[in-house]
Amino acid sequence: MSTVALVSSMVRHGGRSVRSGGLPFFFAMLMTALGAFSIGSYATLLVNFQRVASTVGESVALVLFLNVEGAVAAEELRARAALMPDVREAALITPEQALARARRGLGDAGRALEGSAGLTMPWVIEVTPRFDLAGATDREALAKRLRELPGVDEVMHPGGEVKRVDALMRLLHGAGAFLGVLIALVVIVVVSNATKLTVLQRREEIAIMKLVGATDLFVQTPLVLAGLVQGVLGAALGLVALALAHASLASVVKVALSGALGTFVLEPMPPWLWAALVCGGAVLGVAGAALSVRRFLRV
Amino acid sequence: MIELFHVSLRYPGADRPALDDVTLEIRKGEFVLFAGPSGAGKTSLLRLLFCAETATGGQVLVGGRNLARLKPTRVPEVRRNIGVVFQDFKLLPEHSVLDNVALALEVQGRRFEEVQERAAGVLKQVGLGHKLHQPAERLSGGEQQRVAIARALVVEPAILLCDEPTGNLDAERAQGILELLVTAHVRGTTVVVATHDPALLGGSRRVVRLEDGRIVADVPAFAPLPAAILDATRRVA
Ligand SMILES: Nc1ncnc2c1ncn2[C@@H]1O[C@H](COP(=O)(O)OP(=O)(O)OP(=O)(O)O)[C@@H](O)[C@H]1O
Ligand SMILES: [Mg+2]
Repeated sequence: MSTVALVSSMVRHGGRSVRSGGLPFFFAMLMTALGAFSIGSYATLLVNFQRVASTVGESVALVLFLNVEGAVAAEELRARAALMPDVREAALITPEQALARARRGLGDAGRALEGSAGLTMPWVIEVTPRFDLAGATDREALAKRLRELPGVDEVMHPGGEVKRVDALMRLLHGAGAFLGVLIALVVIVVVSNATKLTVLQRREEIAIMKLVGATDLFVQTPLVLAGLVQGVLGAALGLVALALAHASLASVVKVALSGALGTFVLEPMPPWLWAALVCGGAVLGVAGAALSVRRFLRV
Repeated sequence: MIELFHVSLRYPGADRPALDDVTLEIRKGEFVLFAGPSGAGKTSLLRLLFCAETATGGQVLVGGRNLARLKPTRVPEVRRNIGVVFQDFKLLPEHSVLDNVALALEVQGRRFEEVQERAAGVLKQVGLGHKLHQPAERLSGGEQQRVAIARALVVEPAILLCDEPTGNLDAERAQGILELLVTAHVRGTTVVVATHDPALLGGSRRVVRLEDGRIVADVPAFAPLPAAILDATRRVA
């Protein structure tokens, strides 16, 4: 009696289960593929939307007006702000630069400012907040913390639109999670029903295996392995379809949307998500099969 | 090897027990026949011995184990020491003859090569060496019977239980099957056969006669069979 031989026997029986699985097995695989494809498509859209949103979010900086005198004190403050969490970048703007910008911003009217030597602008720091994958930084809180720095007079932050993007991202993440759970449930139910059919179809065979001394484990493992294979193959199939769809869509999207937003590239999901979806298929396949095997194998 | 003390078995919903107060001892290496008319309880008695039924009363000991107190997880262990030839063969119809026999070794975790070699070897012994790769469903009744015997013998069991092993075979084929059983017996296997077949009775074999779930006669080997048993058996057959 050797474990290796036992395992290889079970694998061979699992292979037989896969080959004799027929229509239910194929259907379960297709459902898994569809699930992986749907989740993958959604994730791809989300990834790209997030990228666009984050450029919007990051381009909207917080502006700090300082009441310090001299470059040294202003630089010291800039360094402190740059070290704060949620801050991606902090840039110092000298009063001269601020004045120049103000002139440019005002256009023709700005010329009125020319030569007005008496007008002095304060030192200004432009803070770019991080806009990470988990959602937008809470700008209110960041603004509050920045305001508490000694030497900061006023903080201007255009919060409204960022908040809206932020809320939308949260909504999309939430909807994605809901969709994911729903698809997972459907896949489990389908796989477990396919396994149930296989068990019923092979009831006689299972009974005979037990009569000649097979343990429950020996009978169950091949069926669970078949579920695993079905889950992995299904997910892989769905992802291949996704990759093909992405490849053919990417060029179209590039042409259609480039110009307005610079060059727009439809990015694929990050590699870990591809791997996670295959693992997800495997887990659902095993879970679905195990569920049925436990409930219906009491021969 | 096999001991039964006041064993009774009542199927759920049945108005009378299939086995009633059966006490019996079968020693290692014996060749025992269970005889008796249809419905006497022969199959039921065999089923108790490989844990397909649990006695509703009394005790069943096989190889020193009390089957009534056996945990379900221990059942496979008991079955691996017992070869069973079922009345209806219980072969996997779509699987090859070789696969059918190999299954009994596979579930024990034997190496693939060993499984194939031993299964093919036993099938040659029962005269089916030329049909290894045929699906079991395409064999004649007698051939299927021999596949069933090969599957029971391939694990070299301590106990061989056969339910009507010569069931629907002509005398010549039945003789062939009997020879296989005798060969196993000579090698030291304890053989228990349930049968109505008078051709199997007589010779140097112990006969336990059942009627309505009770033992009505237990004639040891080497004793001449009383005419009553032979007659009764012939009448039924
Ligand atoms: N699964 C079952 N459920 C209910 N009653 C059963 C069941 N199996 C057998 N019986 C009954 O138990 C009694 C003994 O049956 P058993 O099959 O042991 O007889 P047998 O001696 O093997 O008969 P045969 O020679 O026809 O095979 C019969 O009355 C039968 O109807
Ligand atoms: Mg019977």
